[in-house]
Amino acid sequence: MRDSLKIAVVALAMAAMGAYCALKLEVSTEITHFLPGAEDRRLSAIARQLVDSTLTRTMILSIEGPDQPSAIAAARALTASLRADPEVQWISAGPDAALAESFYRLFFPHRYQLLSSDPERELPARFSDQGLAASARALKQKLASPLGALVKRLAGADPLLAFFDELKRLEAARAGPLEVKDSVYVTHDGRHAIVFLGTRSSPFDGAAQGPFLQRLQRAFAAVNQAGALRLESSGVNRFAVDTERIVRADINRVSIASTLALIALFLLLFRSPRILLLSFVPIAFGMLAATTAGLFAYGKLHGLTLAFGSTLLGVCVDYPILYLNHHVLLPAPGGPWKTLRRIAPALLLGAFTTVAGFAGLAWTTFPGMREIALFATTGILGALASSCWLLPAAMQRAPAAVGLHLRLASHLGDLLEAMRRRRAALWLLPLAALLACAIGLPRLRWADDLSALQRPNPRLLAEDERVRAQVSRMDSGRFVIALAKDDAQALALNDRVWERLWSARRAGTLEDFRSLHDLLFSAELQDRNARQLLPGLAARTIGALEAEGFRGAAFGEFAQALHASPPPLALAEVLASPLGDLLRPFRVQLDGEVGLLSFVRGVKDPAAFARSLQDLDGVRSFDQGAFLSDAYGRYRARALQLSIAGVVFVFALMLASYRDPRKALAAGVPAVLAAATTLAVLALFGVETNLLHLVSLLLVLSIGEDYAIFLVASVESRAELEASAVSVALCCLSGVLSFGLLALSEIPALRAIGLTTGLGVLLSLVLAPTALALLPRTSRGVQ
Amino acid sequence: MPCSSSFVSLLLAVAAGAAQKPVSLDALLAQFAALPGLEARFHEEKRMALLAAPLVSEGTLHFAPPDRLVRRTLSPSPSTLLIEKGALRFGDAQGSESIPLDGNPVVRLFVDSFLKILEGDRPALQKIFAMDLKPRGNCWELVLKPRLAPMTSVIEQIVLRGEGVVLSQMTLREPGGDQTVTTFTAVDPARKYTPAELAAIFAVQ
Repeated sequence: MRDSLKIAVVALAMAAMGAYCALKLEVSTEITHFLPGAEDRRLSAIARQLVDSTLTRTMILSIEGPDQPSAIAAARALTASLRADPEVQWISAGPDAALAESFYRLFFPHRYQLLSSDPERELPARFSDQGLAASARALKQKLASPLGALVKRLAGADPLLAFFDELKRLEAARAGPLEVKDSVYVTHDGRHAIVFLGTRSSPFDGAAQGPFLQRLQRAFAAVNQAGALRLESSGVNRFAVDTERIVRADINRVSIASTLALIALFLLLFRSPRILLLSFVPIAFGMLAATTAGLFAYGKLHGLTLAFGSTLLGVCVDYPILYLNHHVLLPAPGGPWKTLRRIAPALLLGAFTTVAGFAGLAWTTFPGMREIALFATTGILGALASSCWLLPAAMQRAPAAVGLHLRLASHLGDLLEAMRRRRAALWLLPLAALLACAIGLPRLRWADDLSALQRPNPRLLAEDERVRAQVSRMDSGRFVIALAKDDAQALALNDRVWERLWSARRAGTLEDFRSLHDLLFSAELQDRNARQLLPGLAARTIGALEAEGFRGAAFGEFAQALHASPPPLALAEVLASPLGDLLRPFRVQLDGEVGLLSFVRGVKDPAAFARSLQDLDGVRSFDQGAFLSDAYGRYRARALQLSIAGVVFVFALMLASYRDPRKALAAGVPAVLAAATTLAVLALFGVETNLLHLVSLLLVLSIGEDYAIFLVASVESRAELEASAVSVALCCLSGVLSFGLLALSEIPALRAIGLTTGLGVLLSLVLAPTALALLPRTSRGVQ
Repeated sequence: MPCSSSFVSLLLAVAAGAAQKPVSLDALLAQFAALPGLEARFHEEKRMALLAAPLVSEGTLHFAPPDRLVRRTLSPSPSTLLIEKGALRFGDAQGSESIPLDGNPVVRLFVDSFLKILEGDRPALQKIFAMDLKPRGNCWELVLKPRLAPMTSVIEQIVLRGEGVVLSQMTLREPGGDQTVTTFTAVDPARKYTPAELAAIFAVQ
């Protein structure tokens, strides 16, 4: 194929991938992507679903005014303004009048099936002659009270006041610690009005949530024209949008700064716009190929993948740098293709060992890690392919090297030659690294909590906690889940969970809890209640009422209701009613299973608490923080195993390529040393390491191997050694720049990647000459 | 002649000047608004279709402007109903509970019918009731009819009777014919509460 055709093919492929990416690119910041997937599939699925559920799609707005009426008026105005917003699925500033009516219609007919959580023990006493007499007296007292008119409306049909108990439970479930003033929720201190809203899109859908939060601010500004009001809010979407903003800013900063630095370096050394342009094509090709593959496979890319991908520039740039330096400083007599043929073994070995290292990540069960693995391997192969395909086709036969470039090559060549001559002194490098490892590695501290990946903006977090404290008294992220194959079975299990939680609260081992059981029992428990309504109960109840001075004829409706025995009230009926929004946070739908949640507060001894539920099959105590820490700990161990396996595999690859153990060691040992020393230095500086530090070490290994492989391939020729030395120095400089910039990120995950890789690349350069010490003096490079 | 035979003692407590002036709604409400406080005994009889005999309860009533009201039932069983800062708290031997007035329009109506008169808040009263004041010499009768649902289905009318700022009787009639008549005695319309009394009396035990 002619060179011009090859160039056209590359250009066409890039244009096609560019168009695809421009049309399809969607960035996500969902932390679910970095949630584990396999060890405990049920809990993982729960964790995943909770991350994008009714709970996380709910925002709480707290409006503080100079006085309560101002706050209430603002809450009303803001609610009216936001109701029409396309992103707002529902919004509520106060109790819905229709809710009480709906509750009455749905629950009143079932009032005697929802009497007791322990009907066999409680109801016989309640329905005894003494119990009925007490009920009649209680009814009379209620009627005599100032609230008697309310009781009287339903007394004829419900003299046992069963529905009033249900109403109290509804009130507790509806407003929590909030009060109601002028039909608007207000906080106990009377200073804040509260508005709840649910978003249509996932809180992690940046494209929807970013503009929505801006519209929310504008709507509030319109309400707050006098400037006397203050809006605070709580919502997962605020954190997601903030994180995405920072990730995007970091990616832009790293990309722009590394690009500018590379341009400056290339112009300084090559002084050729053509070479400058060519050097960027493989990077762009690699990034486009990686993004296209990621979008094709997953539909969207995670922000961390893109950020990590931007650091891949530091690897992808190695291939054009190696080729261009060799062709400019030491052009093959046969032309650009011959130069490529000369360095191809080193180029291919470097790329394939890198691919092998990253492919190992695909064996984790973190979807995010698999995405990074696909992105990295595709990007590297794309950069390699375009380097091999395009660069020789577009390069001049014998480009002129500039003086500075030649002098740098000569000096670096001299330095390496000097090192080779003093092989004993050269051993000082690995020895120093080993010493650092011996001191540093024992001090290594692993941190496995979620903050290793994502540390929320402290300002947003403080605001979020203030608002949540105003409306909820349950612990965040801690609950008990009852899992079963359908609603009916889950409700039955939930009844048993309620019994345990009630006992725990009574024993003082649990401060409080909220359960769906407070509103709805299982069909089985409803039937058990109904079975206690023995024949003759209506007549005995009316007799007791008459004895207390009531007119028996007024209770005909009660007698009918007692014998009506409707089918048990089903969860689906309640969910389909206006009460559904109240109940939805308690229910999660998993693959073929239903989970009912009970939210808890103040668990005194989490381990003992979990044990107290252990014998209930399908019931788990869930602490999101502890679960994630445990999962990350396990996956860190797994990642370490994979890294070690990757090193062994890469070494085997080198051995197969070189067919010489010493050369394989020379190419592999500096990278392994650089990676280990990086960890040791981090430990010595007191940095707590996590999963991402470990993953970044894969990058360090890949880059370090490239450097050593390039040097090993050139040791037989002074001219080639000079070209490789300049290449390695340039690669290192660009790598340190891009990774170093990432180390300044506000996102802990990006900071971990940047810090580890920046330091690792530098150490890879410093330790690369170790390869010379490991090689025999007479060694010939890879031919 | 007194407005009602049971209110002789109350009438003695009425400011002498008030008897000389024609009674108008604005003037009456202005007098209530100027009250330093109020204390009275009450005797309540509830007649309802459910019961063969009326339910009788007795106790005391205290009002401290601008919006604190407590009704202490002493018999047949002790209970306390406190209205303060727009919320209602009720306590008896079984315990206590808070009822947000805004979430319970019917309860709010009961509260407002009495409290807003003592506050002298005519705009608030007009918002929820059609009012008809019938002066009878020095005495008056104020008929309040709810304007808005769902109160209209619960209460037919409330009739208040009194002389000057001395409230003597409140009759609440429901659509089904049930009726509650509350009679006030030993009314002290010049009651001033010390801070210690405020803390002790306006609380739910």
